[in-house]
Amino acid sequence: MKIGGTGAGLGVMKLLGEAFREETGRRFLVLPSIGSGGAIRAVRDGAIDLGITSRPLRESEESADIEVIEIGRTPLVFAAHPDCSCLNVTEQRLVDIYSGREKSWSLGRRIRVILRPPRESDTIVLRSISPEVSEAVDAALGNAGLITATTDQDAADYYDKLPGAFGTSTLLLLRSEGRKAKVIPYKGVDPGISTIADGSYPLVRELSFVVSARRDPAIIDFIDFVFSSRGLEILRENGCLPSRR
Amino acid sequence: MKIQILHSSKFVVSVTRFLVCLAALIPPLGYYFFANQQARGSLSTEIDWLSREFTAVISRNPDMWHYEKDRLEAILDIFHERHEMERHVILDHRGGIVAEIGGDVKMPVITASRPIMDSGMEVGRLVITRSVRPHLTNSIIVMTVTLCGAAVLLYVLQKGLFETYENAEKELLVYQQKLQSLVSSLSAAEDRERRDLAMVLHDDISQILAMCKAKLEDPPGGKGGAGKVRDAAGARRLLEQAIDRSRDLTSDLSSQTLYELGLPQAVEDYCRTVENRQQLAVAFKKSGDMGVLSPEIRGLLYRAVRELLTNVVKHAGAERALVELKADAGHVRLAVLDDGRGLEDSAFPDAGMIDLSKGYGLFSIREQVRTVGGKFEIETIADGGVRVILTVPMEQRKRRSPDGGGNNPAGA
Repeated sequence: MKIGGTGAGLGVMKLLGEAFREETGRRFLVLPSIGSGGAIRAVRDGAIDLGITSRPLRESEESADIEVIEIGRTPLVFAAHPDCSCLNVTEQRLVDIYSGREKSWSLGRRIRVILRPPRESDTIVLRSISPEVSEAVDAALGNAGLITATTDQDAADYYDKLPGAFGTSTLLLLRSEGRKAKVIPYKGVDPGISTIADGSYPLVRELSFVVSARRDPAIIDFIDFVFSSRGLEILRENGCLPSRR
Repeated sequence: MKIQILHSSKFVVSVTRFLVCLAALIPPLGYYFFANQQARGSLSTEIDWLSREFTAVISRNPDMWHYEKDRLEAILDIFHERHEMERHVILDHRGGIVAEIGGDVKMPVITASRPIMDSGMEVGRLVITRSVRPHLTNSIIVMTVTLCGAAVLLYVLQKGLFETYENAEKELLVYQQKLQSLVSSLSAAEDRERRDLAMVLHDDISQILAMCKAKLEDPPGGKGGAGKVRDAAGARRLLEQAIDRSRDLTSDLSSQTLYELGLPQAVEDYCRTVENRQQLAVAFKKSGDMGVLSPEIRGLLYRAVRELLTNVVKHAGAERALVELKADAGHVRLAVLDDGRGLEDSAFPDAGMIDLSKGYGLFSIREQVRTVGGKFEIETIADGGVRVILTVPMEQRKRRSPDGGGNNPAGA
């Protein structure tokens, strides 16, 4: 059985798959990131059994052959290299960083902005903060001198290894993959399931399963496991606020 | 030689015009060529980089890469916002479209294609089609600018170089016509001189001598004896009359005074002759030493005085004239002034030309003065009349004629 999709959910799927294997003896193969769109197409074509997506279906993607099941929500976080001296970001500071007006951290390390492609969920959520932030992100995307990470994992690799690196990721990815990247509070609020539950942390990414309408019983069992107490515990531990099934 | 030069100049003008027009086409064609080359180089670099990037993406997930449409299109989209100018396509190994950005690309286009590899095997292909219409548009702009520049350049050349050539050619043609007419006129003048001489000899001297003979011989069957002079006194008068006519004729043909007593005396004598024969008061002034004048210069100046005073008598309607000879610093200056009606405006349209319709006397004098390296000036005096000034060197300059020979020292 194959699971694939957006990079933000792949780490926790490996953890859930391992727990599912321990409980049932059945094994799942978690593929490298193919993105939300890739997951939807692959499930529709039967190339994978279960897809992970971080966005709703587009009109062109809607079909009677596939079904979407919400998993939960995870905070979109601002991540940086572990040595970063930054303690907090605000809307104005995001504008300054993405527009290039703020070039260094407080200890003098150069800020290296890691961008995501324009149609990626991270970029869409980031742009939704305010028109000023959106304008600054557009300016950064037009700057050929900045780094653009193709996948969530590529971005997380930069945060782990590149001094001064700064950008967006998800709490779920960083925790489930055991990343060393530093998570920076936004407007003084730490990202977490409690802060997104009470609405004090506004930036979230939603995760959903994409499954074929003619789903395999093994897939039904796995989804049931995810929404079992063990599965929900794993989700919460890794920064995902589960949805009600 | 001058005609050849001008014909060469005409050729140069034509070639210059052609080269200017040709040169106007070089910048736009060069711009289009180099812009195209630059675009092809840029496209080649870009597609090489992108194909390596996609190879790296595929190597992370070789079995599922063709499902990563959004991600692949996002990568393709990073560099290109102008979708109407470019079309990027990623094809799988069966030729199916995996990812695509851009729309219909406007002609003309350039295309590049690179394989997308997975562990040494081609699993897909990246194709980029790019419009080079902006280069074409810019080339048209460059062409417009350079053609305008060429038009301005041709205008400037037309006003400067070309018109100078054309005016020189016109001037040369007028000179040719003038010289041809002058040759004809000289032949006619020679014939006229012979007729006049024959008429003087026949109507005047021959008649006088015939009458003299009649007075010296008795008619057959006359009263006197054979060989007896009938009217010796009448015959003497007639002979004296014939001698005077002969002397006048000799003087008209060639001034003996000029060669025996020099130019000033000859000019003064001629002035007196004109004064005696015509209703014109002619004053004469001289200054400086003219003893070293060459025979050619002497003859030239004497002929000039005769021609100029003849013109005054015939055309000026003047009452007084002044002839002035002055030698100074190796040059002789001859000035002839009158108080007549002056020149018509059209007589001398410019300093170098003399109107053909006004005869050949002045033209001939001017050409002779130029031949010896002198200067010819003519102008209307403000109070009325004309002033003609000839300035010539005392020694005739040795100038090579067009056939390579020196000047014939006529009159020496």
